[in-house]
Amino acid sequence: MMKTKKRNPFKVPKGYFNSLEKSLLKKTQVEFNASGYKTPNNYFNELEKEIFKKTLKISKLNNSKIFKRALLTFSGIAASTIIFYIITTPKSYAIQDKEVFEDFIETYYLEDFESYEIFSMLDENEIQTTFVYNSKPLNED
Amino acid sequence: MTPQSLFVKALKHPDSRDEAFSRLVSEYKERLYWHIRKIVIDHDDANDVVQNTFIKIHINIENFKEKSSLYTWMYRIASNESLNFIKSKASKMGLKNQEWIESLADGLIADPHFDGDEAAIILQKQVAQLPEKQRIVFNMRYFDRMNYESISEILGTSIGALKSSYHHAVKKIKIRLNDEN
Repeated sequence: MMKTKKRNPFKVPKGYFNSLEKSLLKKTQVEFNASGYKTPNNYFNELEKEIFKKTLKISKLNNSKIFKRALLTFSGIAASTIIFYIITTPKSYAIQDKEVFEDFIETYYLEDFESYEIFSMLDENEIQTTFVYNSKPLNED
Repeated sequence: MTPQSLFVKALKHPDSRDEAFSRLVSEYKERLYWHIRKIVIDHDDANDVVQNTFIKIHINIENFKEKSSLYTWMYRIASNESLNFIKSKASKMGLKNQEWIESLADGLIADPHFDGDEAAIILQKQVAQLPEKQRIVFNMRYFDRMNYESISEILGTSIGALKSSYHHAVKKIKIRLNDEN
């Protein structure tokens, strides 16, 4: 009983709903035909040129941006490397400088001064404290 | 690899980009222009929007993941650009989108870039009175003869909803035209 109530007793020809849409479209198009819009003469050729002009500008701009970014990255890396080098190296320089200076003094004294000259530059007290003679042999206990 | 994938690859590669883009513009300029023109109505506005659309395509082709066809993707950009354009233009004029479109349709008779007959003007005026989405669906189905699958992909709306929207649009237009007569 319930089944018979729910069933639709009306029928349509096969494929009716597919053809309905087509026939509706056909009817309305016959009545109203085209949209009526038009463009200026040669518009689409000009449009193409205009689009290429604009996209070319954008491409150039993008390329220069990429170049600038690369340059900036490179200078950043170079700058940080230099800063890192400066921060980490001054001590070793100082040590090297000191060593070079001491070497120079030593060579100067050894090469250009005789013992007499060295003594002449020192005070008596200095001579005593610098050249104290120890009579005891070093290994003797 | 499908011909579309090869073409997209050419569009993305710096060495072949310019040539491929030139082919793309040649192939789609008219179709996209007419799609846009029916949405924004005015030729100068359509000219601005179609140029912006191609520029967006050029810029964003790198992000195109081929989840849809290239044609669908471009149409989606064109539709969004057109709707955004109407929104901004209407807001500048202090009007609602619908009011702006209706005012443009009313001015068609004096438009040098419109040569439709009286019936075409009446139809355009009626189409302009449709809600925005319904108007676009009607244009794509009635004038461009697109299938529902393509419209669904472009607008991101189900086929059922599109069919319903289109039939409502046709019904409204028919009723209004009968009332006018």
